[in-house]
Amino acid sequence: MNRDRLLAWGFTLWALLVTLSFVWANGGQMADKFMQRLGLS
Amino acid sequence: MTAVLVAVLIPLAMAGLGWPLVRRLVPGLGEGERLALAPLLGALPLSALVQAVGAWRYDFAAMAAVLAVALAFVIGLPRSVPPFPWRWWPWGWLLAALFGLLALSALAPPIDHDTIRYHLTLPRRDLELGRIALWFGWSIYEFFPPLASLLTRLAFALGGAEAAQMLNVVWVGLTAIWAGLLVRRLGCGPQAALAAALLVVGQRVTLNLGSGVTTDFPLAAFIGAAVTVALSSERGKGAVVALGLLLGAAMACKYQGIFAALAVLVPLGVLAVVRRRGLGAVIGAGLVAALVLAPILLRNYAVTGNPVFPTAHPLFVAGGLDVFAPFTQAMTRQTIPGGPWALPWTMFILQDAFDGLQWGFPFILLGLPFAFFRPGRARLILLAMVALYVALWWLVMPHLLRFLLPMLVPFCALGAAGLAQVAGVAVPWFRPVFTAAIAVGMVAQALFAGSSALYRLPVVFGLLDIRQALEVPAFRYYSLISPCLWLEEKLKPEQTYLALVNDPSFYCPQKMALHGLRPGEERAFYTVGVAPLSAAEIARWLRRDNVRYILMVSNLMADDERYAFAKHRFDHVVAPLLAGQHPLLDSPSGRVYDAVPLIAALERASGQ
Repeated sequence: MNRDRLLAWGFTLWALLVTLSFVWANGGQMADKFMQRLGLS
Repeated sequence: MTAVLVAVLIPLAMAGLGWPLVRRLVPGLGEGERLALAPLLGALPLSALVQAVGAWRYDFAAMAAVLAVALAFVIGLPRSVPPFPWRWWPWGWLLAALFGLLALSALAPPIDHDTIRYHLTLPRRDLELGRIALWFGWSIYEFFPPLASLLTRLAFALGGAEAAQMLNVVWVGLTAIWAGLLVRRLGCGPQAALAAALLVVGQRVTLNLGSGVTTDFPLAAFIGAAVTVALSSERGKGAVVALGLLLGAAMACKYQGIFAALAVLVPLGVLAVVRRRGLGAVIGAGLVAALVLAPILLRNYAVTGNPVFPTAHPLFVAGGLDVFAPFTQAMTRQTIPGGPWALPWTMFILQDAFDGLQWGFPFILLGLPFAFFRPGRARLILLAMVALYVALWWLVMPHLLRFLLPMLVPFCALGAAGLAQVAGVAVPWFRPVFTAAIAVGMVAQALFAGSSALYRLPVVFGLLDIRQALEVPAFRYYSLISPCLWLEEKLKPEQTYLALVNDPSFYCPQKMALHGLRPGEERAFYTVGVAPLSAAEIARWLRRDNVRYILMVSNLMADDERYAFAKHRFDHVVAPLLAGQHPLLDSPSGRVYDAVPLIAALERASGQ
């Protein structure tokens, strides 16, 4: 695997891990706050 | 538009004062770096000038004279700025949009907690007093390093709260510029520089606090510049002095600057020892930095007996209170999963385990590992500085993510360098994947930006008045907007009021508030405590100081920073007596009572 492919796969997996972890840890609370802010809950 | 004018003239004056220093100290830096360095080095003499004149007289005329003198130096500035290799990159547009949003938001009345509690309350008090005071026993905050707050006072006297907030947007701008310049030093191109600047402006903490008043962004700008100068090829005595001045200025903005300066100098010192050259320069820079901070430490020692008052008070004063104990005890109850070893992950992903979503979407973490796919000593030194600061933060400070802001520029520079590394990958399927990853984060940050703007912009555009905007649960208890505006309107000259509050609010008159300590009680307030007052003593005090009204906040005693201001001295005696009185003003945030029946009740209670 050349360097570019390594970077592409590495970043793809890392971005998935970071994004899903962030959403899992904060998504519910963020959604609640935004709904509250918009007066929808 | 006074705010905009003031926010243009102050950095110009700073640059004019700093340019002769830049020309002399770091002639070999890049043209852009030298221009961006000028306002930072000029902040030192300008703040000294504000202090010198303000101690004698602090009002619009005196501060206008200070600014006019400083602006005379603008004549020495170069007539052109270096060209930026601009293209129609989306990062540039996003950056412009976010700065536009911050600048518009800065025109709103202050809503940020610390801006209302002390960043603008102290300048307002000083403006009412007519001089920049250092009032032991009034607050702990006036003993914090004053560089940035002196410039806030300059802006406040000339253009009010909006100008002071707009100046903070300028500091955000300088921080973003230094992130871009540092990324260029790391060998990246202009797109990466714009991305680094965007990372600074796009963090949730910036979107929230950028249009308030802070000392965090000045500190971040100084550290960003210091790191860039340290990583440059400038090695002469001038560069040593410039590095020392920048680190000293960082320390003169906020005590955390001391740890940030250590985090910059220690890796440079270790490197110098390994290479067996340059250690003298590192020590020299440290000495210059210490000289900049020394007058502040001496002042605090002379007044309070503690050079770093209000921190570490028990270390310096026998029987000294741990002023922040209630706050730090609350913070130490946090459990951070994984402890210090998991910090690189938890501080970006589990932000709520600290002080909430300060970064928002973890763009920095997304790019950080990839910054090291390209070999470069500068990136490793930068990482060592960041790691050392995070270690000191973990060991010494309350675990607030906001206290990581001194390293905002290195963090964003490394994050942007990593993203730039990945963006250049030539694999056909990867382009949409990369775009999607960035887009997800941008949507999250756009929601944060919109949420912050929704608090401020309706007031700017006249859709809400200030009472409607601030008399809401999120802001009411520290803005005290209705009772403060009522007092502002009703109090006559020579009348005063007694405030039963958890913290003073910027919106209330300051000079007319009854001060809760008698002369000579200041040291006792921060050590053994002051003696309780009887009803008779309070009645005499209220009569003597012509107290006309009593302001009582609705959530009195919900306070975990009891020693931040002289407060709560009258609460136990006065609050129960007020319960039987009809308020002159009743609002969700607090009530205002007539002092005359209260004084009568106090006298009855004491049998007079």
